[in-house]
Amino acid sequence: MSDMTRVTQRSASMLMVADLEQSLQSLTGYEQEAATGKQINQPSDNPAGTSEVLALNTQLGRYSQYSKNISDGQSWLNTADTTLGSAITALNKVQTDVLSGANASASDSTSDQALSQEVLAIKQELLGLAGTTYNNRPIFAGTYGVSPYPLAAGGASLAGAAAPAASTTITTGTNDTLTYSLGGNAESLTVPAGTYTPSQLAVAVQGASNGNLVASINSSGALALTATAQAGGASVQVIGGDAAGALGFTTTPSTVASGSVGDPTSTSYDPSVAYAYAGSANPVTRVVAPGQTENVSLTGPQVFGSGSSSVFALLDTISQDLANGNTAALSGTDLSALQSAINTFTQAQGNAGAVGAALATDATQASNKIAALQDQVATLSDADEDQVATNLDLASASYQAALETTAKVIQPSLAEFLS
Amino acid sequence: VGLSGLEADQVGLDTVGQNVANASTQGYVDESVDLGAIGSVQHVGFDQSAFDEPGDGVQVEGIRRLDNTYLQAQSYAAQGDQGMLSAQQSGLQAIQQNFPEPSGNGISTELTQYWQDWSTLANDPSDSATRSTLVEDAGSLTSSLNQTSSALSTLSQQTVQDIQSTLSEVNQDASQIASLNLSISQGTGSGADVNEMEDQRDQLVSQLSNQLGVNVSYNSDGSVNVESGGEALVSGHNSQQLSLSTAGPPYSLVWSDDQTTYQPSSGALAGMLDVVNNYVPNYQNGLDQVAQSLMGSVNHAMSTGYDLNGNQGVPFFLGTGAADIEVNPAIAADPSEIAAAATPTPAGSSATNQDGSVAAEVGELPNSQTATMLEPAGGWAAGGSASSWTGATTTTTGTEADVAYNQLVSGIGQATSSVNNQYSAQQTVTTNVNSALQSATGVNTDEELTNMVLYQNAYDASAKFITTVQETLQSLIAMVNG
Repeated sequence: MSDMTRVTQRSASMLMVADLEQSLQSLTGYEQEAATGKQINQPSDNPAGTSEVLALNTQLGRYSQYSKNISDGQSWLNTADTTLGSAITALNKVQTDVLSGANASASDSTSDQALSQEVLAIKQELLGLAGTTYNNRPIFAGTYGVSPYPLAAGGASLAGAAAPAASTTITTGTNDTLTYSLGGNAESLTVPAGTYTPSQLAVAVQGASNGNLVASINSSGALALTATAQAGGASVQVIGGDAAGALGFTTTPSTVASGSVGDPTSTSYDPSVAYAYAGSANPVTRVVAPGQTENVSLTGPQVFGSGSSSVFALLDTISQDLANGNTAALSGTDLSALQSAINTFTQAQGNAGAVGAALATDATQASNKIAALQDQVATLSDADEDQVATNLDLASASYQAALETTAKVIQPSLAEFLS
Repeated sequence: VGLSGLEADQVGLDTVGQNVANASTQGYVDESVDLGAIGSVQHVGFDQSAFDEPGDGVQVEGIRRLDNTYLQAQSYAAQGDQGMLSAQQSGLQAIQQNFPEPSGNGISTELTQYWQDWSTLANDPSDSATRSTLVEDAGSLTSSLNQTSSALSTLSQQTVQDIQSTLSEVNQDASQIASLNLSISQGTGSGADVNEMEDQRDQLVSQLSNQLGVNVSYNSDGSVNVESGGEALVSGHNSQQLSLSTAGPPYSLVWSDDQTTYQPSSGALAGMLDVVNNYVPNYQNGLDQVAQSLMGSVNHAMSTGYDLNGNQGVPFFLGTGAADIEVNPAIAADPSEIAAAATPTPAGSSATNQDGSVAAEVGELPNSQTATMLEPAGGWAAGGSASSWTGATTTTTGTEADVAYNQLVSGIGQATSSVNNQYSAQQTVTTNVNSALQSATGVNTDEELTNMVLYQNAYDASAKFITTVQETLQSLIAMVNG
């Protein structure tokens, strides 16, 4: 109230109304706080606090995502761990077979044949394990969504004449074609015009084959054309075409190649083609914290190897040695190679375990961080219930007091006393 | 002599009646009766006696308005400031309502979800459901930006309409003040009572001061001049009109006399002009920065990546700012075109690309304060078509979208909170000034009733005087007759 000497009824009521309004306003403010349970209901309630809460929420969003990334990585690793465990069990079985084959008498060829077949079956099992997927995604193919050893079940393979050195370039003209037959059906492909290194040319030919052929450069540097698994088992013959020469084939029809590249008993057997790795060497990573990633992947070559040095080629060799009763090889190179393959798998499992442990630590850190962030957000934005309740009581009491006072202060005037 | 007393008391009682009746009338100024003694007639001629004679009674010299121009001017100024702050406050509060932060229903939550979608895509880059989720969430983020931007534009348009209707009130008030000025100066000249007209006029000036900060000066003939920003809105019985400039923002007011422009610094009009000229454009600009940061950073990442079909990335967002940002329709139609991978699969390979390193990079953007951004060829204004994102683009470093949004929201909160505080401080000032003015110029009914008793007693006394004179005369006549 003012300290005016003269007070009029209107001036008094003006001040009282203003006081009442103020009192009601603070009451409404506390009511909103109590109703929403939040200290900050709009940015203007606490601009600096709002800014902090928004920044904290952004971080909170990141860390809850890290937490999801981590658990996705853990599931991936669990799948890998189980798969590696199965592979080790299978390889141990092979070891037993090798030992019994090496110690068997030379005449016991029936049981050797059985062991040989068993090893081949285990090879198929390992190929199946190599194609294990997590969430529809092959876990041993790096960043490519592809079966890592697609040609293991592929068909026949035909290689051209020894190609030029890897550094030379081969130029193809417009509409250069290659005609070939798969299982007796004539097919044709057109190599896109351009300049290629031999390996680039292989990629181009394969791309132009509509999925029928896998083209690769074999160990002697020649272009090898292999029928894919989808054209499985088909015989392959190059008939001709104006690109045939450039690709290292004669323009007259070649011999018909039959059999399968993945079958050690076949004339087409070529482990370098059959077990060539089709995945990528790029690691699969999960972001687990700002600027921090964990590599959760094991690529095919790291575990199963590739081409002639793959575990599959080893099992092919073992199965052949068993079939042929080659006890010297069995007890010598085969056994030691098998032992080192088992070691590779065991190590890989150990590595996966180490990454898993790192992820577990990351998971703990992420959830601690989330809890800390939530705590900070709550401190900034949640209303202190006791405080709000007290404030609300006080504001409500003071509003009522203001109302009562106003009622008393709007005093009767002299008029009531004049008669 | 006795009659003059009766008449004077009658006028006094009438004035009391008028005051009491208007005790609650807004703008009514307390009136009092000025009484003066009538001097005795000077005797001219031989009988210039040395003794004093009693006077010839009392007369009403005028009914005076007990106004106070000093407090009145303070009240006008306070109302001007309050009018401005009130308009700023309601503008800012309306702006702030479009940013429901930090409730979890605002754009910040959608941003967080959007970044998380990118990280999820990095974990499973070939999954079409994950890609579709990203496209959907990005779509709701862009439509929130679109809606907020258009809400700000609508607010600006509404405020322009408010300015126009306020201007027509101001113009009407100004011409009414001018015509009252004319009547008052004529009345003053002829000696008529102009108090009520003055009350009415001051009331209009008071209204005006709320809408447009004004200075008031008083002329000797009782009229007032009202000026704002150095130019006379009302000068005696002339007034001029204000209109809103046709183009804007920035908008300004235009004087009808000389067509000069004017930016008032007080009054509701000043506050509303502030909303359309400063607040809304600033925050639109802030929102555009958020949208541009989103577009620039993601499109830059896309330009370095490859999609599931082995093609180099196309821009993820198209647009020029918050008003028109959208998910590239090509990507919305075919989410496999999102370039999540850093390297393509080899040509001819049947492998799907499971490389999500570009998506992972995008997901990590909110960890930094800045972002590398691609600017469309020809600048932001050209960003509406996919082709402007290839070719002669430039790469710049800009503020990361969450940071830009955070700055925008806390800026709005800061401005609103500051105006809220100023407004409540000003409210106290205005109430105090107006109450002081009321105290000085308003009616105190106790005072009036006391005056009433005073006039009543005086009337009784005058009447008694007349009776006494009459009795004295009758006694004299009886004596003469007797």
